[in-house]
Amino acid sequence: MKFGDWGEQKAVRYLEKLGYKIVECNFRCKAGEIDIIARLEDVLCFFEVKTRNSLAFGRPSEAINKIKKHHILRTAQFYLLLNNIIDADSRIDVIEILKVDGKTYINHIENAIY
Amino acid sequence: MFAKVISGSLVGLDSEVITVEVDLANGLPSLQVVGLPDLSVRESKERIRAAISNSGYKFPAKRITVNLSPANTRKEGTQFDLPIAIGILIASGFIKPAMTRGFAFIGELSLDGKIRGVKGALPLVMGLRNKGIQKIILPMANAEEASVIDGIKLYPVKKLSEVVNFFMHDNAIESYNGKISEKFVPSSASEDFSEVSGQETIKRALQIAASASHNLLMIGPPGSGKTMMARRIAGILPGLTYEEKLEVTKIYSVAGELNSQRPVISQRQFRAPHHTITQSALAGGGRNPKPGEVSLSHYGVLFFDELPEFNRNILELLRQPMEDEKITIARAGGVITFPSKFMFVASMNPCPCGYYGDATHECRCTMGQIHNYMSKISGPLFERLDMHLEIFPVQYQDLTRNYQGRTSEDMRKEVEAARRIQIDRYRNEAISYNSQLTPAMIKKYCSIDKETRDLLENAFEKLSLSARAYNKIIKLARSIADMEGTEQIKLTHVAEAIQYRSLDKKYRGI
Repeated sequence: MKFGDWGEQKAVRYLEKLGYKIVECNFRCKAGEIDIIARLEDVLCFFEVKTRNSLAFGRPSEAINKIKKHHILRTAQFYLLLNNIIDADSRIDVIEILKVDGKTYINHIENAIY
Repeated sequence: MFAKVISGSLVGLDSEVITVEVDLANGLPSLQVVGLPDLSVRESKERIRAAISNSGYKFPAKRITVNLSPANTRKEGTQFDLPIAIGILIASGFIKPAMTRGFAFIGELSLDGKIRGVKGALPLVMGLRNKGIQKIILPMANAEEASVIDGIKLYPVKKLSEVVNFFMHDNAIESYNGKISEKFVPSSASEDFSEVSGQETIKRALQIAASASHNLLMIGPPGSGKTMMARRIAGILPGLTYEEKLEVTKIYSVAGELNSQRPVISQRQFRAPHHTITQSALAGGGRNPKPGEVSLSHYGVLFFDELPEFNRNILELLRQPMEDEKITIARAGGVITFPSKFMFVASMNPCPCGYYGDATHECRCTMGQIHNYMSKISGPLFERLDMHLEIFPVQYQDLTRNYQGRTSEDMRKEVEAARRIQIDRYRNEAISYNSQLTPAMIKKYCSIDKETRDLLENAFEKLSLSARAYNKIIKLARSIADMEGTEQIKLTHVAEAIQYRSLDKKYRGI
């Protein structure tokens, strides 16, 4: 299993603990990919998970640049269109997972991309 | 989830009411501003987002649409930050919409939630009042400036949270009660005419010029006190009326030249642009036109030191605002007219070395050089200058004699008396002082006797005067008569007036 996939599994477990209902993982389309789609009460959330095992290249969330943001936004819009969701409250979050010295740190940034 | 908040936008020196509409919809979080916002308005998004969260409120994760209505005029300026933020807070349920009814909002937000001053607060508040709005929430930094207007309640604020608490918990904001009347009373000018030694004839001429706002040119060698006296002319002009103060303050407000040290303009302004000034800095300009020096010296003095150093196109530019007392600027952002009723004062040396005609120095210039120097000023402009004053160096005795010249205050009183006569006389006309007289009015108000007419005829021929110069002499004679308090223009008045025009021939004739 790849390191990134491990991180996504970690994120799913984290979200389930918080009460999110996972709707879909790794939704792919021409516009890009969304790692996790989950629902918390009425809010539909899209998650981008970034996993790192060192800080040598900066924090995980720093890897999400303007183009990546754009991809995620477009993909989320496409998902909503595909499923005929017109009037749902929705948001896009980022989950950073950092594994150093055998410890795992999780940082959840709500409403990170708008 | 919809909210409506009132704000205003500047159009030249006036303002219009802008309704800021905010709608929150479900969907991916975003913030869109529509309704022809300028870049400064579009950037407000980031300030609003940061200011709301840094003030301790939750920025809604919704699809937010902001509309600035009427949506067909361009909106510029940072004053929309506060109304948009309040709109978002109302739409997301923090503030009850009924609470903000009747209020208008202006103010720029900083990232930490503080509220900063905006440009043009005075005309904005004035415009809103004229549209029937009674209560305005505005930045503390603009409170003093705006408080010169009565008939409106001002609520100055420093922080976004103050505004929210005001509407959520009824934490009262003190409405502004500054003693603006003190600010509006002009402080005595720091530069006084009593510092000018000698030059009594010139001082009298300047009084005459000031009493009727005659444009004038001072010619003299270096060090004779041209600049020194020009700087003091604004101090002997009659005081500004309330309406005039408001008008000038509005211009300065739009130009962004007001600050806490100078919240309002209560005195005649003295503007002395450097000769490297550009056309748009003089006339006003920019994509959304801002007033230039001709408008900033409205009701004041516009002084050009070393007149021939100015570019010809700059000087020619002055002709229209001098005649029309206003300037119309057409730019992409719209066509805007700014007032420009100024008294034009210029100074120059008689030749490049400066000593032509001086008694104690020898002029080293060739005739060609002098001719070249003088020809930098076009005939039409020369003619528009009502008075040409020849200034001679100060005498040693005048300089060292321990004498106290007349103060600006004393001189102003005489000027004001003369101006009152003029305002009285032209009560039923569209003008208020002599230099504005039209040829028809000259016939009506400036009757002259036979003897005087002969003198004028003689001068007309000898000095090869133009029709305009002829009229200017009569207007000037009218002002001199008013200065002396006589209704009938006498021979001596006309003779003195002609004397103020004789440079036409002396220098231009070379």
